[in-house]
Amino acid sequence: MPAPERRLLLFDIAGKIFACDMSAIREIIPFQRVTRLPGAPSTVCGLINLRGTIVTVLDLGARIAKKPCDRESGSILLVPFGEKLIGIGVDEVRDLQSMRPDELQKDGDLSAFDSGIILGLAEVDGELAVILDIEAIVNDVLGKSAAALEGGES
Amino acid sequence: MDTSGYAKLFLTESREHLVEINNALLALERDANSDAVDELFRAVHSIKGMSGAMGYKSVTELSHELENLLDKLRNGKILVTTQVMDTLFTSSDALETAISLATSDKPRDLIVNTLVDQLRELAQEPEEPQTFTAEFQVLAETKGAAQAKAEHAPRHVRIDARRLDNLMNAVGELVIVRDRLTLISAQIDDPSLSEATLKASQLIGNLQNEIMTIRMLPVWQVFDRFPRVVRDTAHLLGKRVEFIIEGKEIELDRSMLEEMGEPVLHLLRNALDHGIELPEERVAKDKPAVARLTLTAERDRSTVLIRVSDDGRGIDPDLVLPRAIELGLIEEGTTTLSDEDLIRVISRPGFSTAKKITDISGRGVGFDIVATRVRALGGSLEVRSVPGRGTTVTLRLPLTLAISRALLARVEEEVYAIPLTHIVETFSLAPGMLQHVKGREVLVIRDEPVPAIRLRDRVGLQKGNGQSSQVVLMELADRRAGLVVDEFLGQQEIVMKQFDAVGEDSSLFSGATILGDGAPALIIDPTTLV
Repeated sequence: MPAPERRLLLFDIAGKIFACDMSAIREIIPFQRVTRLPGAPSTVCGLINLRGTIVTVLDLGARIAKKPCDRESGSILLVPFGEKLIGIGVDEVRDLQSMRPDELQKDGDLSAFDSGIILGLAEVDGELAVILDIEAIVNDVLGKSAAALEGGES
Repeated sequence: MDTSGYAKLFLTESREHLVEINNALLALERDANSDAVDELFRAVHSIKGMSGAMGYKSVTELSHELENLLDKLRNGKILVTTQVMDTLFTSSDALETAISLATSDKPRDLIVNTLVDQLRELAQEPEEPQTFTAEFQVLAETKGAAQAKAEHAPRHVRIDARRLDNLMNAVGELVIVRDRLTLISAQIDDPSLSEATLKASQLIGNLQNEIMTIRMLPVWQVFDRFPRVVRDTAHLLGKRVEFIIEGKEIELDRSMLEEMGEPVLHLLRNALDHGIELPEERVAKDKPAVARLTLTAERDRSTVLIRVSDDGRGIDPDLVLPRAIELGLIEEGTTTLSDEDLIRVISRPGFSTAKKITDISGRGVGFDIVATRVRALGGSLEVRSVPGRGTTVTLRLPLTLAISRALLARVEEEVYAIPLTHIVETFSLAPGMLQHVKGREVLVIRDEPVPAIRLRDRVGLQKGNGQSSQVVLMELADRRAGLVVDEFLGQQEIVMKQFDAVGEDSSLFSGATILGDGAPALIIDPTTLV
């Protein structure tokens, strides 16, 4: 029996194609008004109001390409974080594509990125897409504060 | 079968019984002839029955032995001695531990062998026990009690507190939308729209009140654990105290109730440790050997007053005066201290008049913690002290934490919410008011310099087109600071929401709220600013 296919969400960041596992994404919403969070690193866009709850939005562009994502026409991927959601800002959501695990390339030049947040590479429409580990990215940016939160919450 | 649901129910019910047990033990200690033994027996019997059904072995075993001992006490076969009392108190604690262990995520049994042996030994008496009559009585009583309960029981529904929180959140949103709607309606100025808006506004107000009322809980839910703490602390310190609780039925919002227990406990411990004298000292001063410690709850308009009052030695002005002069609060040579100055001195971190360091309330940490906690809850406190006669501390608390009022302020394009609780006044920046003293910016308000904080700098904004033109004067304990902003946008009811903080400076904010236009705004935490 062939290994189950993986559904990848393709999106643009700074003119390059990136991808992540669709199962990690709860919802995709267009970019909306973001309230800046003073003191937060550049990898954080700020806060949005998602149906009455406050959601922190990270800037994937700033995190991996050192270029803030497009807040005019970009999208926010909502991913679960504990019992809450975290937003991830990207430039443009392209497509959803199925891929078998054996199509995933573990080799290739990944030296431009820190390996902790990359799952591998995949060829999409003749271009090489970097497959990101969304969970690792969220933990990377929020890790410290999440640990503090868990310890302090009653 | 969902046993975890039953476990929760068991926990809730047994907690109520544990409170009854503790109260009955205290009553029994005061008066051995009281009905307390009967109450104890009933409560222990209920726990035994429930735990048996749940299969909590250690709880059942312990409550069974307790029941045996209580039965002998009830029938006068053994007498209430100090040894018996101590064992009963220990057993009640063990029962509580056993219950929390059994109902925890990883259920375990408490090892109760020693205590069980102790209980059995105490329950031994020379004569043959008349088990038959005893059993008969028990059945008759429980049945009678159950009947009485059924007849008088008001119709209640148990609701998960989180659902109430969600409901409260939703109403909070509605209140914010109402403010927005009223604003828009005023701009459009159409009679039929205005009328509809007014009607909706009233209905939302009613809904808010109703839900607030549902969330209200009587203070005894928190106060009921204090008699035991007071007793233990007094014993430890060798002091004799009569502890009186008044206004148990006064209600507070759940959010506030959960938060106020700790400061009140601190005040009680302070009174026992520092206020109330040892019996011999009291007798020497012509005071009754048994001191009085009173905890009162009282409703005052939209606030609740919690008062801790003792008839102890009061706060010695000779100890406070030098410190007040040292702090520059009063002039040298002054011999009296106003209540306001007294609070200022004792709520300073590190202040203590205690001559001895104890593990009850520590040294120097106490009152400043209470003061900070209470202010963080949006409350205030008052201290009255008469040397030799006693001290009264009054906490004034808002009924809820869920919805509060805030001032919205703008810097450049950003809007921030400042809770009204710490705002003394607001005014426009007059020419010459902002001055530089020793390289620091200060605001001169009625000839008095107050540190100036520019919100623009604090939130890391560059100077843009905005003009700093307005000031919020904030006060925290005895510190004041003026927060300089571009413009005030008015007051609004806000619902505090938490967010996932990123970065160190997020501590500047206590949470976020949603503005009328749907955008999130950060709530400034005055305690980190001033």
